[in-house]
Amino acid sequence: MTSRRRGFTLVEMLVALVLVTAVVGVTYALLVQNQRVSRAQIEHAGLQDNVRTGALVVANELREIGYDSIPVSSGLAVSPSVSPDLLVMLSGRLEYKAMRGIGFTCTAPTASELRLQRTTVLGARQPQAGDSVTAHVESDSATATDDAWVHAVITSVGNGVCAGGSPAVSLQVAYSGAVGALAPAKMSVGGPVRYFEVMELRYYKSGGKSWLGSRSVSAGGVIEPMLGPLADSTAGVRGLTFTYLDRNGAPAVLPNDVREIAWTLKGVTGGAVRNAGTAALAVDSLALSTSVALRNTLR
Amino acid sequence: MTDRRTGERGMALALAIFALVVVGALVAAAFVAGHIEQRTGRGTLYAAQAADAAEAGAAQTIADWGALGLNSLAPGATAALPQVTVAGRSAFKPAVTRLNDQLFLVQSLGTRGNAGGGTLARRTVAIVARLASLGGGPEAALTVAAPVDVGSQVVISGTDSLSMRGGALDCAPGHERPALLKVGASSTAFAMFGEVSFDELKAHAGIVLPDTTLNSAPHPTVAATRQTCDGADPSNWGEPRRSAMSVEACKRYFPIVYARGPRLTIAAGGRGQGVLLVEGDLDISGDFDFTGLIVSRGGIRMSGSRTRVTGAIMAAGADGRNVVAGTTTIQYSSCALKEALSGAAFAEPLGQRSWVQVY
Repeated sequence: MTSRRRGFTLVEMLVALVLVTAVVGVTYALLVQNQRVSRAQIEHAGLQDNVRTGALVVANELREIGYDSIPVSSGLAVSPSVSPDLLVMLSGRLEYKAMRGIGFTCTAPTASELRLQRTTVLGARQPQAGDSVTAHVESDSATATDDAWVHAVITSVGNGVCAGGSPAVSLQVAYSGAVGALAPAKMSVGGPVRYFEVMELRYYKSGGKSWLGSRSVSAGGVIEPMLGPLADSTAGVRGLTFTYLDRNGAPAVLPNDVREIAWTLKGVTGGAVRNAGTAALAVDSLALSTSVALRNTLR
Repeated sequence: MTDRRTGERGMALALAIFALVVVGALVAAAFVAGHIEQRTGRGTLYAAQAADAAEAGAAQTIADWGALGLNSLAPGATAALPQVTVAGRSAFKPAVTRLNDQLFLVQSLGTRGNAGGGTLARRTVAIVARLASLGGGPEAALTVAAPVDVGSQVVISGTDSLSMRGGALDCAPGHERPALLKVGASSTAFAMFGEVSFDELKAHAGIVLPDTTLNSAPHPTVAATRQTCDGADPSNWGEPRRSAMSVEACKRYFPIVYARGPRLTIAAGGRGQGVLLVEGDLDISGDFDFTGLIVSRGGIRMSGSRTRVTGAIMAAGADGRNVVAGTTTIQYSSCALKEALSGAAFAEPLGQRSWVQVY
């Protein structure tokens, strides 16, 4: 029996081939374009998230920075002294006393112990050995002009009991200098005690990329990336720049004069992206400038 | 005859569906990323709004200190203040804890809510505040910058008194003071009260009166909803009496009353305690019972019967004459001054390291 089947003609095949090629080509181009857009969007979202996080985290970290002083009228010093929280203030590096919490004494402070009512301890974390404290000295309660803050190092942390029987956090402390012998007697029960660690924020390079890193100087920690990647520093471009401003908004030279810290973060995408409408692959960047007013500067 | 075309299998549909699925997945991924980004951005905004509300709450609590009557808190006690809604859906809820005689911790929880009443973000800040020291008050029962005409039935006593109407004060007597002290009009005695100036004091007044004649007598009042002293009532100047009939809730309320006009006339008597500041002249027509400190930047004229001031009066006006007549008693009392000045004291953030980030 003779078959009536017929094959495609060459013309039909060619036409079909051209059509299929065109459809596949268009689909492929569409997919690739979509993928680029999608990847670019995800990278940009990550980039925005990165710089936004930088603005928030750094602001939270720096907002509580301040200064304290020991006036002569406190009877603790023969000449006035000011102790700023800003220890190093460079454009790419910042070292500071980072407040980690506050508590209030519930027994009379001694030369070796500050006992804080446990329920009053507020902060990012509990105090720990190696932290430093700064304790409020009331002296004469009839005047605020002789108020002072004195510093000590926490040698150990334990449990204790307040005068009223409620639980307490017992801080064994070591003052430096003659202050330790004089200050506790001038502290009032219920006075505030802040505990802090010395931290460093630094713009640095690791693994071929630039980062904002942080480390605890008090704990002898190593620098670890906090956020990034940031733009590499080239001529005229920096991934991170800190600026220190005084009360008039002018650049401050001395830590005591700083009232505001501004910074510009220039984040970059984790990899090269091809933006819509451009063929070239490139690392995209986004800069964000922000600032924080230091809440605890001298009034 | 069989239709051959029914057996044919094309791939266009499959290709199209495949392409649609892939494109859809990519679009969905981009949409999800964008959506997450948008939500993160909104979360950041809400957190900032909550933080702003918290800061506003702490600042406002300190600014409204006198009106809130927080000085009567016992050490260790906490007063939870009502929630206040600020712009949009942000709100703050402060709480004040007394740490000791001088120090307070003002905590403020700021929230950003949604339309359904849920909370989108919350932040808490705190301020360590201390009471401003108003000192111990004047050195005499009546301190003036201009001469005084004193009536024959007037009693001005510098003997340090512990008694108030209907009861005794709970503190030790001090030294006897002069009944009358004349100082220069520019004396700092009229300008500074402890570490606080007259202008700072009046800026913290809980009750501000215009140039007026008070025809209704000030008297202690209790809030209708709660059995607490009504600090929102401008006619409530606290309870200076210590008898069984006195308004118990207002015994610890010592407002700062400031009369900003050129004259304050207290025509209908009344009673109160705290600090009364008068920008101009003060005229009291009788039946007025006050415990604490009265400072007039002008002169004073006291007449009528049964006016008693326990504490001290100061009149800084250098022109004209002061007149104290009728059956007026001005009784110096360091104890009453101490109670009134410490009770009327307002809080200020510590000079250093007052601000606390609460996590």
